[in-house]
Amino acid sequence: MKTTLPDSPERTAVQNYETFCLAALLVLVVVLLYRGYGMWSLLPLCVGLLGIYSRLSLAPVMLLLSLILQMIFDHWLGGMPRDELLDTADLLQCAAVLGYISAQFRLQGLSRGVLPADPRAGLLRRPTGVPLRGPSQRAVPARELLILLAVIAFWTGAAQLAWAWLPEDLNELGLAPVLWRLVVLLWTLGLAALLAATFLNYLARERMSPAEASLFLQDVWWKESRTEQRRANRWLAWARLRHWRRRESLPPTE
Amino acid sequence: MLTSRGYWFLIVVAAFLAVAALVPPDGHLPLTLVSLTLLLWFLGEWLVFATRLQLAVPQIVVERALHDERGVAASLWAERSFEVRVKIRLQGLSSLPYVRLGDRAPFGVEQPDGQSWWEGSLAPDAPAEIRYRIRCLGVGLVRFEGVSVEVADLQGFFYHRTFVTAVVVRRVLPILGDVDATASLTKRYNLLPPPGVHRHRRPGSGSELLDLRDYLPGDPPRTIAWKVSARRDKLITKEFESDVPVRCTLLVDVSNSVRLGAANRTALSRLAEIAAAVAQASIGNRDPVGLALFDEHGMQLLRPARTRRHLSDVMNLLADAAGQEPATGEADTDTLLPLGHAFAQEVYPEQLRPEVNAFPGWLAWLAPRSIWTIPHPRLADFLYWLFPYIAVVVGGLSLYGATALWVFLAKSTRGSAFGPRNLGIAALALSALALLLMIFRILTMLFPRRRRMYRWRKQMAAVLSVRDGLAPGGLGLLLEDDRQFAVRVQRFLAEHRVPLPLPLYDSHGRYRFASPEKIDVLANSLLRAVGKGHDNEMFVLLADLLELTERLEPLLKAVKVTLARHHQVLVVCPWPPGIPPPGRTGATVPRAHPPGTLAGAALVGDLDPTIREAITQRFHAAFFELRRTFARLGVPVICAQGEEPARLIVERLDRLRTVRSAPRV
Repeated sequence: MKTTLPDSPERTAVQNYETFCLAALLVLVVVLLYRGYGMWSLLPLCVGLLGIYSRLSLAPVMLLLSLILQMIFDHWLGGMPRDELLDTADLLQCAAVLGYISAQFRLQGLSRGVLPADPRAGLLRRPTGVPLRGPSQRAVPARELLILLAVIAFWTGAAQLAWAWLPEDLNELGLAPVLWRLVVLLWTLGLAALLAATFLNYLARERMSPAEASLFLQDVWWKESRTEQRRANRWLAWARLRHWRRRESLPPTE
Repeated sequence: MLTSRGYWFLIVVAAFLAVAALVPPDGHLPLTLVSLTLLLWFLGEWLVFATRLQLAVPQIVVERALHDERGVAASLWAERSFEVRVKIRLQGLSSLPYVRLGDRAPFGVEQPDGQSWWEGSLAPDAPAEIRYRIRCLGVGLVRFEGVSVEVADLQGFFYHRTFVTAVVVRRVLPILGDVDATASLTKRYNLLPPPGVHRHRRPGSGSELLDLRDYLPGDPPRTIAWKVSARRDKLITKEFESDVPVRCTLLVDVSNSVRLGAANRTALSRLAEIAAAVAQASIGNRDPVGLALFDEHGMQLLRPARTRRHLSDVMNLLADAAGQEPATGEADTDTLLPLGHAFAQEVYPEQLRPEVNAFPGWLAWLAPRSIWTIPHPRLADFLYWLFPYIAVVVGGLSLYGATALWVFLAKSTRGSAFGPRNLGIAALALSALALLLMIFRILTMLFPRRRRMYRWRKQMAAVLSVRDGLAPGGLGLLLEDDRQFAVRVQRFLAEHRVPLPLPLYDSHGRYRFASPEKIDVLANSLLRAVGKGHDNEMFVLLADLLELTERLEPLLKAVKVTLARHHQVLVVCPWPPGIPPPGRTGATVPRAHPPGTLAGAALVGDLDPTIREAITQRFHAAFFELRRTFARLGVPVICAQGEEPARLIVERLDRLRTVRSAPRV
């Protein structure tokens, strides 16, 4: 396995992502301080720093949970809930959280590996050269961070716009506006995901190999006639087995 | 497609969104926006990943080439190293940001150098290349299946594994130049004929004088010995020797008994090496060599010839024969199934997908395999067969008990105050629920391996049914019939050159691979070859007869006929790998296979020393019995493992040649 040298490109990429995470955390802290959370703003910073330096796999989730303090502060400790859309602070906060989480997962990929563990047992041992899962050995292109920045900007803006465009007054059920927005959002996302999945499945079926298509048809037939096939084949297998047992019990022929 | 990281992230973000949006009185907008951003980003990543999978993965093209020092190699040679170069290109426009490619090194080779995998970003303008070296261990075939492709996104949320099939099968030919072929060219007599021509002490049309005899009408005048005729005062005719080549026919056993062992390291590989060395030495002397491959069912004959093309044909036939795998219908499906399924999962992952090869989860619970179709059922098999009935009875009784208790408590607390009564009912209801959950949990802990094996069996039966072109009912047949299934799994694994463990002895202690039918085939082959022989020839029987010493009568008769026709016979007995050859009892033999591997499991090297010693003694006794049997006919028997049989055969051929060339007394 390739070792990671101090000046290797992998090390440089790790440092770049660490810097990216730190920058995202700083932006988040600044936003929280700006909103007047005071010393509480340092909690996400601590959690984020812990994640960066320990590569804790739960770090992104912990950062999200640490943001709950914002909710607690606003609703139960006398803070001021904000409800203006397209607010700069909201944009920055969303971008910072997304930036930290995506960079943190990328860091984990660089240090521990992107691919999940191979669940297959070592039944098919081969001579040598079978690689184990380990840190990602992929060269990190310089444009990767730029693409990440663009992705963050796009999805941050998309989320703001989507929430702004969600209707809150076309509610015939008497639900609270925010609940109605959530219902519409879930339906929209669910339908979009369903359509996309259907289209992708259709593409996959279009590209099936003849063997896969035969398997598919055979499976349909088996589902339809499973009981009948089982009954008939059990009798046949039993008869064959009895025949072989009788044959095996015969003394060896000289 | 979703990894565990992806699942957890999705669940946490969805929960976070729900909490942030629903917190009273009107939700929390900043955190709602944060979680919505994360959710949209996650869905966007999924869409991009899935689209890339559909567009890019089918466009992967694999090109493979094998190189040696001189360039591209069409065939491989045993005990030689070659470089494998695999080029993976992506056609079309889309690219894959993170992909791990692994070339599946075949069985039967070592990989001394280089790494057979690559990871990185695969784009149409940036193909990947894998280079590594392999060293072929023995004669046979090697099969490169293709390249495994693992695709993931950069954050590790999504993962897909597939396999790009690019099958390349190469022969591993026996190494050349083992036996010194120049010994017979040593000039021992002044009248040594040119190579490839040998005098035969029978009247013929050669140039060497054999004898003088009285003239018979019809003799050509040029054969009259005029001086002798003048001395004796009657016509005397000269007889000349016959110029014939020394033919050698190799009868090689390719039955199941010599195919056992690790890939390309079987007894058959050793026989092929010996046969190839003899063929090479004989053709080097311009002597014709014939080859007959026989097994339990029949024989394949290559007539004697001495051209280079013929040598190439012999090598190819031997390599193909050495590449065959053993098979028996008596193999244990419990052993073969995990191996076959693991291999199919690696090489044919697309055919095991639930979309095309589904297994209903309830089937293993409610309709397990019948006990009547299992060849050797155990107690656990009986219990598993009864499992649905047990589960229904236990579940019903538990439900009934919980309901009865609930009713009883409801009745007994009818007169009590409202609070304690409800509390008691709730406690009892919770207890009943806990009891049901506990029973369900206990049921799930029962027979997990059998349920898993049943799922694998269905999936493999479906794959094999389609591969072998069975009728639509083939899946049902293979699902129930163990013997059919075992044979087809073995065929599947053998086709892909996967070594598999096979039971060597049946329940009566009889050796499964003795193949007594091959004795008749060998005897008939020998008689057929003798019938077509022209002059004194050499017949080398490379056959495993160790387990058949009591059934040799047809072969002995054929050998007697052969000897009566003044031919020479030699028996070479293959020797199981891992057992010291005769004469070297107790000697340390290097382990042929690493311990613990599947290939090594069937060999004696992994057995208890006492059993190993007993097996060794049994083989030695059988060998000496065989040697004694053939010694009565004057036929030498040599062991393929330790006595340099190729050199002995060549020396014997040389002696045969020398006897023919000896000056007349």
